[in-house]
Amino acid sequence: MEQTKDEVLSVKDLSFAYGMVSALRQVSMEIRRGEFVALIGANGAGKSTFMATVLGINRASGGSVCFMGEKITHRPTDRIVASGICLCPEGRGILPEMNIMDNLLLGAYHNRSNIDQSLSRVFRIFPILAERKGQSAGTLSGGQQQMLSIGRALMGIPKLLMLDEPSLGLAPLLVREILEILHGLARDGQTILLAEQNVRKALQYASRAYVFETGKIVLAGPSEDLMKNEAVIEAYLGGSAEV
Amino acid sequence: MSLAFQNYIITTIVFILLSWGAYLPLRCGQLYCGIIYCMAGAAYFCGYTTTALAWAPWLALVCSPVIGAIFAFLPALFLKRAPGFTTAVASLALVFILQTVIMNLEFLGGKVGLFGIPQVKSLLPISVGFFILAGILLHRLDQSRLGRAAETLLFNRDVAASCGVNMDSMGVFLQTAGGALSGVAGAIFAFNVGGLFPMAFGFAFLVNVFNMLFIGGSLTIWGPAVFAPILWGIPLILPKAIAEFKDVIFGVLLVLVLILKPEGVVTKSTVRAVISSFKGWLVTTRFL
Amino acid sequence: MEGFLAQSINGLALGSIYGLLVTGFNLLLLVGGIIPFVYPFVVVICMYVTWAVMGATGESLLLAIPATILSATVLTVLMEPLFRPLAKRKAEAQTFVMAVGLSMILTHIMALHLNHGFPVSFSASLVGREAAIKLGLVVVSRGQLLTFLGTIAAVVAFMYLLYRTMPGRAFRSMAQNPLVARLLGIPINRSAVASYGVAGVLGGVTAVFLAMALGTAYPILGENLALKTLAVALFAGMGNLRGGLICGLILGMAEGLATGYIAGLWSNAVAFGMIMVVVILRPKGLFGVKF
Repeated sequence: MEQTKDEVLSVKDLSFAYGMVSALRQVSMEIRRGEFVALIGANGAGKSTFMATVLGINRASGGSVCFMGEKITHRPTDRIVASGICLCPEGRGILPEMNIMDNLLLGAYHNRSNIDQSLSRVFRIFPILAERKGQSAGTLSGGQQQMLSIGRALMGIPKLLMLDEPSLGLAPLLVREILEILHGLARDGQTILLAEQNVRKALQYASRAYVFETGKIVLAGPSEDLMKNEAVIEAYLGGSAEV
Repeated sequence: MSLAFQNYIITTIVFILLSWGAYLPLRCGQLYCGIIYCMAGAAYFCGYTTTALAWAPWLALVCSPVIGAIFAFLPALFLKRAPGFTTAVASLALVFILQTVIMNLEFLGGKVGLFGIPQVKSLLPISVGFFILAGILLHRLDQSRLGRAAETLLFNRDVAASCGVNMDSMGVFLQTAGGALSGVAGAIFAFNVGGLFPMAFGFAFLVNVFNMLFIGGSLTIWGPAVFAPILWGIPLILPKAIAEFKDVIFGVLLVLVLILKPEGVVTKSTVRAVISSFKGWLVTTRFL
Repeated sequence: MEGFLAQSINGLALGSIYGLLVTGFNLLLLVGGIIPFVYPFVVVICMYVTWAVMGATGESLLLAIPATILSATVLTVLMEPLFRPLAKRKAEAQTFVMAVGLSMILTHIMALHLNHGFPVSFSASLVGREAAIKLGLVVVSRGQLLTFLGTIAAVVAFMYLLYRTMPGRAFRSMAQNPLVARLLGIPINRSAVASYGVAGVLGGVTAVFLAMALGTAYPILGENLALKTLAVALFAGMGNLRGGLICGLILGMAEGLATGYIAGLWSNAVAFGMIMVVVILRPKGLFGVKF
């Protein structure tokens, strides 16, 4: 499958169905190196399902996924993660019974040669994690858990960082803080794919976005254009002309 | 009818009753080893009352389901809500506790065993009678509201709860009923073999019942009913050299069934298919 | 008093073996997601391996111990694919039934094909009855000392693996949240097989110590040990590693003292009494179901 040198992720007509239910219907997208792309849409629109299918958790029923020039469509999840895709799942996905250090180290499962470097980087970005590294992850607040989730993903030195609904359950101030951090990472060259229900915030920080609805992409384009798009405003931005 | 064949039928019936006793709590997801200690309790009850107390055997037989139910009821009060596995282990523990207790009670024969249980002349028709009665009762139970309620419990506890099924009383009821069936099995067993050893009512018995229930089919009463005669018959007709490996063969079958078809060989759809083809055969032979 | 101390030392040695057994059991429970009732049977059949190798090589411990550990590991790992479909379905009770079926096969082999079903005994060089330490009038035999120190070493090594290495972290994550573990890119199947392997190694070590402590092996030993392991695991809390170790020691001590002071047959009932107490009073176990 051809891919330009700059493309990190290339998805063509990806479909996923379980039983009679079609959860993803011929989704196509490209993500280039260093981009900060958002997937926006309501709950259940297919954003999480898409990420799970890219990771190989769901077995695609059609279409293909290319990562860094290699076809990864039906590869097992552990090989896909090893090749450089890390996901911060919905709900953080941290392990509350382990301490923070162990959670972080698990992120480096496929990248053990650079652990010390990665750790100091994560601790620089999230000092709170360094402070509480021996404590069990269950004692962290929601925002701190999200930071742990991102930190853990970064430990794997991902070529593509995917985040599923990081703003869920977080106060607006924290949401901004996290998005600012992501923005900083993107500026440093990290390729980011962000799935968000908070459309306004997502479009503020991402440069491009795809709009999901019932498992399909219905709209795509640069964030400024989408923010002015009437359908988007109607459905996701409160229906007023004010942006 | 030869004695060996009689013995075969009676033993098969004993095991079918036991399997049905385990089948009932399994309807709500509980793996119940209490069938063994209820059986032991009733067997020893019959043995003791007919030897030391000189009761008439038919009296002991009639009391046996009650005895079995009593043995099941008290633990059931504690085990009713336990998840499937905890029930299994706790009831297994009770099996061994009862074994130990019996071994240390001299008036029950202790380690040596209880002998001299009088023979019951018409044991075969009596057993068949109990078998048919139990089969009918179970069949009605399965079709009844109670049975279907139990079945929902098996598949989805939350749905069952929201439909107003009382999980606690369901658990107690099924275990007690299972105990009653095991009691009858124990009585028949006692009168058939004439002598009881505490070591007999242990693990090996349980494994045989598991084999019948899980290989035969744990979702319908026909499973163990069809497979008990097969599983007991095979060692009789096979040459001795292979029959020795009975345990290994059954173990392998059990493993295979659990991996490939965990509901067992005989399932509801199998039964339906058999019935409809039987009906079809009736039509072609009777009305053609 | 010396009698009491002697029984306690016996109990301690026995208890440490129970602790090791329960640890392997809990590992399979947590990472494999199964009820490994068959695990103690594997341990016992490997005791036969110890006996066979020692018999064939003129009492060579150097060959017998690795052979035992190797056969335990291979046997345990061979069972992983059998349990895998059931573990994926999360059919816990069914794994118990399958384990029971497998244990019958193993018992059959021991009862009919190994030494014609007769108990096997281990030579004095393994059992080590000579005195190693004398505390006043109480003697700790070499076997008991080795057992106790050896099991401590095995447990320490295991805990190190579990808490300080990456594979151990992977095990723990699989035990706590299999989906998250998968998302993190942990190779689930390979790690499950690895956990069976670790349990197998522990089992082989346990077999050697059991041979030292008991001096004999026989087919029913599998059943006895399996029930006691189950009792300890339930009592401590299924999957609770530290609880399992402590309760294994408690059971060992209780048995050691009970055989001295209570008539033999009742001492088994101690284990089953423990189960009943737990189920009635504290269904989650003394220490709770946790990692």
